[in-house]
Amino acid sequence: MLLTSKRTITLLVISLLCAIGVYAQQPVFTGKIIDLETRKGIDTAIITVLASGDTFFTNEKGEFAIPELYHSSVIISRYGYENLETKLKKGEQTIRLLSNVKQLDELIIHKSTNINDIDIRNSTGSVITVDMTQLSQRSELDMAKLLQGQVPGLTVNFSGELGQKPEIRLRGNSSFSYTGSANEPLFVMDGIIISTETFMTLNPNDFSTIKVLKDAPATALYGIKAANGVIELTSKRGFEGKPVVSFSMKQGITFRGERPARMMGTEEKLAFEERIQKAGSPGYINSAKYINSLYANSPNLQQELARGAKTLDSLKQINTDWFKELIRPNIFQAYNLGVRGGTEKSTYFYSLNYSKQGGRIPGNDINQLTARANLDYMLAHNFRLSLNNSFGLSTANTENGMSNDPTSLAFTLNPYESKDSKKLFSQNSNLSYQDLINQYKQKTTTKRFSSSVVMHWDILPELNISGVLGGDYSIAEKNQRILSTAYSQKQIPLNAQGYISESDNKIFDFSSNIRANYQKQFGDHNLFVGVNMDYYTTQIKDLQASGYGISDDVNSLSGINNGLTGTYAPKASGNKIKNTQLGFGLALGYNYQNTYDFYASIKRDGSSILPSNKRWNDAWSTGIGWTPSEYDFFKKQDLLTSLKFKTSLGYTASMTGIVPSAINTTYSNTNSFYGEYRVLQLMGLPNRSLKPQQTYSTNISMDLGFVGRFNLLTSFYSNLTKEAIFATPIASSNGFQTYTKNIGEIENAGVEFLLSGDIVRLSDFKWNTAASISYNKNTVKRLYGTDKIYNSPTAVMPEYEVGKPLGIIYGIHDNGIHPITGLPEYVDSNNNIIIYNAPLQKTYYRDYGNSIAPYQGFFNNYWSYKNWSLAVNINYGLGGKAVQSQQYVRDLSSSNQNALAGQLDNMWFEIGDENKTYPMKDMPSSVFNLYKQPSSRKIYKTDYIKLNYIQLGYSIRNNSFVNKYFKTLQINIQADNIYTYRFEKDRGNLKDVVQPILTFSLNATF
Amino acid sequence: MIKYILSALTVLSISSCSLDVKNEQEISGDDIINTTQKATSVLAQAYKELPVNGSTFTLLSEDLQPTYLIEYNSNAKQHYTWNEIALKTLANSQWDSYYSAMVHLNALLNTEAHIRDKGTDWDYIKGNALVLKAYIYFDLLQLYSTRYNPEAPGVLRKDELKIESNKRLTQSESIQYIERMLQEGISLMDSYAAQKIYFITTQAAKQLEIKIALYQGQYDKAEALATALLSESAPLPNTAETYASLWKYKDNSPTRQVYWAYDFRENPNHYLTTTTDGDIMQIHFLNKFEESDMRYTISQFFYDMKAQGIASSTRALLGKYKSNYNDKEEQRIILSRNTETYFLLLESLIEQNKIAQAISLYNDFKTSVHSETITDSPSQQVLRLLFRAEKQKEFIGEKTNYFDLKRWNTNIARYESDSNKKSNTIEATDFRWTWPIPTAEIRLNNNLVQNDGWQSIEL
Repeated sequence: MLLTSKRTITLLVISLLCAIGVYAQQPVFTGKIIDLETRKGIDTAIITVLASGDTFFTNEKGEFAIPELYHSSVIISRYGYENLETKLKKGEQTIRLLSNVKQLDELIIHKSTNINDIDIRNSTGSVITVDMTQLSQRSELDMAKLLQGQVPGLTVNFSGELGQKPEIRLRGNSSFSYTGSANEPLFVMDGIIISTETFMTLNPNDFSTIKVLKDAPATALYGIKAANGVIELTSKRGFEGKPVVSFSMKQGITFRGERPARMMGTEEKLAFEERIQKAGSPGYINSAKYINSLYANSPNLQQELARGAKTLDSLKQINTDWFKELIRPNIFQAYNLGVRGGTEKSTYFYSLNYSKQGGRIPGNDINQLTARANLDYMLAHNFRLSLNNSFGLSTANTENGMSNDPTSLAFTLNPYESKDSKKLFSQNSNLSYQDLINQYKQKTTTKRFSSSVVMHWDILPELNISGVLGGDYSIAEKNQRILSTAYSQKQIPLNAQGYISESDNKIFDFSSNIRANYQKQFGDHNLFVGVNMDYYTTQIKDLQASGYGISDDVNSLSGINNGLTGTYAPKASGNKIKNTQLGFGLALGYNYQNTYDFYASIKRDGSSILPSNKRWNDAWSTGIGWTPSEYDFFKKQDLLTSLKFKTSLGYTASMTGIVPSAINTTYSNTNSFYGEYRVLQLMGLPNRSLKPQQTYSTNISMDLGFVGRFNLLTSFYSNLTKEAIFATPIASSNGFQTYTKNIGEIENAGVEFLLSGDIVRLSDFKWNTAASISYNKNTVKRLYGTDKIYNSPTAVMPEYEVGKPLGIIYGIHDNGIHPITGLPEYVDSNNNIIIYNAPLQKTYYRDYGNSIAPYQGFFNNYWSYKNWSLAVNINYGLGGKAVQSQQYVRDLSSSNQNALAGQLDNMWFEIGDENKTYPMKDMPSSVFNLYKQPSSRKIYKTDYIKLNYIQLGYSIRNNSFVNKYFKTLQINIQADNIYTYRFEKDRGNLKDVVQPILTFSLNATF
Repeated sequence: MIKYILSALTVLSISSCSLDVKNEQEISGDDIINTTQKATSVLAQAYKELPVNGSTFTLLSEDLQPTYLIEYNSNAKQHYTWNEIALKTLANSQWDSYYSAMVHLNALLNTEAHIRDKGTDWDYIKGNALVLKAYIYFDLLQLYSTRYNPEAPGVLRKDELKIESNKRLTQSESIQYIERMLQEGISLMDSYAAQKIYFITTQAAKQLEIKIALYQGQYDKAEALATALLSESAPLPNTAETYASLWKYKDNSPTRQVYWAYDFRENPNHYLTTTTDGDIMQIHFLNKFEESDMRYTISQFFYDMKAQGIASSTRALLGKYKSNYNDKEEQRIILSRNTETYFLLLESLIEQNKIAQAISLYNDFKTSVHSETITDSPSQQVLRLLFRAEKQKEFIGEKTNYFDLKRWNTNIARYESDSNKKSNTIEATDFRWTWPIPTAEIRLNNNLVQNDGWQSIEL
């Protein structure tokens, strides 16, 4: 066995990766030297033959040709790259060099710690590798936000508040329920499965790559868990050599962000109150009109008129912008320290990170501390062991969670009210500002610890065994507290005032995966066979307790009043859930002359969720690859420099939507009582024939390189989910409202384009660009036994219909406000005017588009000139629709609160008011049912173009001081989430209005 | 060393690879309800689902009239005024609750083959489930069907634990079905000594039999059943203390006065209170108690509330479960008590024109509550009205009045808030007396048609 040092492992990996076909009869050493990450040829690399000292250079494409050598050991060097000592093989080869300017990130290649990351899998499957060097410099504490707009086909949507879990989707929604965590991909870190919560709190600086696996060959080895795609994270490793310390710090400011809705100022609000004649409102009772009518025959009329005018004048002096008052800029800071190094026998990577991001809402912030230790040991020349440990602590505070929380106050408080106002007209019971704030506090602390052991044993040159064993443990503690002084507590008995709720949510994911791989070269043929067995367990344990009557200086459950009964009695609850999955997999790969690839895999998984007679499900995939650019004729031209086609087909079952109670008679064992007896509640009508969802996926992609500079990746895919599960409405006389069953088939088809390359490549100036557009269309293909499914018994329009996509918005055409009646006039699809109190009918509605935006993409640019660099990232989403909430449009009853700016001019007040948008102040209740429906005037486009970030960097080089003490030193100024262009101004809430962050950062290695 | 690591890794990863995982928060399996104890827990859940909250029926009845505070609670106001949409929502949620309770009773009754410890305890539980099922069906019949008409549609029968789309039984079939379950249930429960007050009892079941007879206008049968039940029951409560204690009964065994008390775990009058000062409803001005009446301070309490125009005025608010405004103590809801049997008998006597017997029974009751008796001999119609007024007062705030009003076939009036002025009258012939079948039911079951007067969504 020849494996003696790190460098030879490197070579082995390199040769396995790329130099699969070997032309044994070729008398010269030929090949290409490329950049490991960019995969572009490196020009003027120097190849020094160790024995003779002869030197050779690569051409502008990075190619070299060397005549017969006696000793073929060489050193390859190039400015900006790590030297590589290697032994050339006879024939064609590809050698990869590691860039050392990018924070020395990829100094060493190990076999990936994700042991399912088999090289051959990537040759036919759709795998996008995200380079973390750029991304880890962003001012973002949330991994999910980092990935937004980086990968074609990956969409990330959030709720706007810090610490909230986003919706993450890969290539659309594969099941009928399309919100929440239903269609989330699987997250794998160094071979072990981690929860979405863990993923979100990881430190981006700890990772070298993130792979996004989108089609069947890529995901099939993960089996039934991977029906929605997989995101694989690989953490950084140590390397042999003197320790390299990297340090980065970031300081910055987070801004308010744009206004979700512009509200009235004092002038408009007072005039609005007068016009709408809101009883008791300052704008109305102080108006001349009101005083004139009230004091018509009174001697005090003049005096009252003067008093009214004076009051109005003094109110007009106040013009509080509550959005600015309550939504505030805050600070951002992050510190990161990493050390990497090692010896021939062992290497290490340690990192420590602290970050703090203040939210725009008072009391909302997030603090994060993470630490990681990755250790690698070469226990023998053919046996390697890696230990990965990571720890994270994250706390998030918020005061949102009750009515009157700071977010809602920003849109309800009147502009003539101030923090000192004793009685706020806008609030129920005329509370004061002090009554409203500091009502509620919530603190969430997440602690997680992940640990894994990865071993790799080369039994024979062709045969190796690898294994990973690890656990991810996370505990989320939530503390909710209402002080006894809070307004909400005034209503309740004195001995019950003050509330605390504490909960612990523990999740433990255990993964083990053992894999044996056999790879052998027979002439032009390269064969790969792999078998594996994996076992995953998830355990969830929840504990929650709450109680009343706690005094304000105590913040622990020990403070609650255990003597209270009834509504205020202490409550305890909890549950334990465990599910496991065991799987066996077989993968087969074949390559001929580097030109033809074939891959097939099968995985059989058993899940504890399913009853024992239908426990086992299969996932299989097959793919072929063809690389015409390997043909000799192809190499004779310079225009198309590389071309590869891949196509794949696969099938996987999915556990989405399957719970024991859907299949078997199941009673929930909660701690509710009736009389002296615990209750056993039946959870649903069992469906004994319920089957797991089945996803059939096909993918065709083409990777085209032209003029050695540009790369175009095109993928077409179509994923058909059969036996899709949905809780369908049933007649409630059956005891339940829904029944879980396999209802139909959904297809997600789409196309993704990714164009990247260097537009300008001069010695001093470089311009690199990447642009992507992806389109996803989902269609309900079949519904078993019907053609429409309604979401609720009162729904008039179907939620799902054969031939239509998910998420259609049906609305009623709105003719605007009738100038005589002051009521909105609606027209049905036959252009007949709709009568108000008739029940809703199908003919009322028209299809106004889809809530799920089909087009997504990004446009990234990177310029470098001498020591300067500039990165600009833009992403966009097009084609979606949404319905305005109109929650800030006030009618008479809610006009004590501040209203949407412009409502005064656009509201109908009296007969003859034409071209108005908002109806009369007190609509008859019979109109409400119609008014609540989405109407043509309330439906808007959600299209946006977002300037995600701009980073300006300066790298200090050629400075004797810096060169003496630092390996690299770089200063950046960057702005994140800078600006979003939207077509609709009034969206009504803070959702999807992200916070801009401006930071200054320093990155150093020494 | 490597060998050890390898073997340790192998052992660790292969150990505990079992896929038979028990879930701690739920129990699963077709034969999982296999002991009387578990069956009792399923029965307990059926009770928990049972809709008994006073708000539902009291607001619709003539027990109370609105104060100005109802103007701030639009749901309650719509409910009080019998708004069509509000009634539809109410009818939906009550239907859902009744059938959620039903599915648990069916689960219990269908698991009989799996019960390992059948004995007197099991007989009691099974009997109880049958009686409760009869009780629910009788409620459903009274709410969702027209007044008694043997051929008109009755209840939608459900006995199985699976999706069914049955036709409604006729009313006479429904009555047969209900009576069969009731008789079987009573025979199973009758000899069981340790009955629980929070589960329906034999006495309550027998009261239900009388009500079913009255519903069909079988007054002689009702008289016989009521007389039989009264022969073994206690005299009427006749002191303020015994009367007040009915509403605060805490023990787990039924008494000779309280037959069935629902374990409510909240104050039953809570729905009337508001965050500001006062209740949304007050005692109806036609239900005034005489000061000598022992119910004067128990069925109501007096409270100073703001009023429109004047600074404040004292109002009579609903008592029984509450003795003062700030009393928020949780109490059970009395669903069946001895006094009701007297009134059932009284009704059967009046309807059979047995005036002398009726007057004597009526006076017995009036004496027990320290109220004025009648000395002359009124006509049947006068006595009927006196009886109805008295029953309304006695059962004020309880579930009874709405069902009585429907059976008595009378018009009822709705009042303006804080006023004795009628806002409108709901005629005895109004279609709203028969609640609508939930839309979901109609849409998902082709065998059903909507009750007269109610509109359905057209597709």
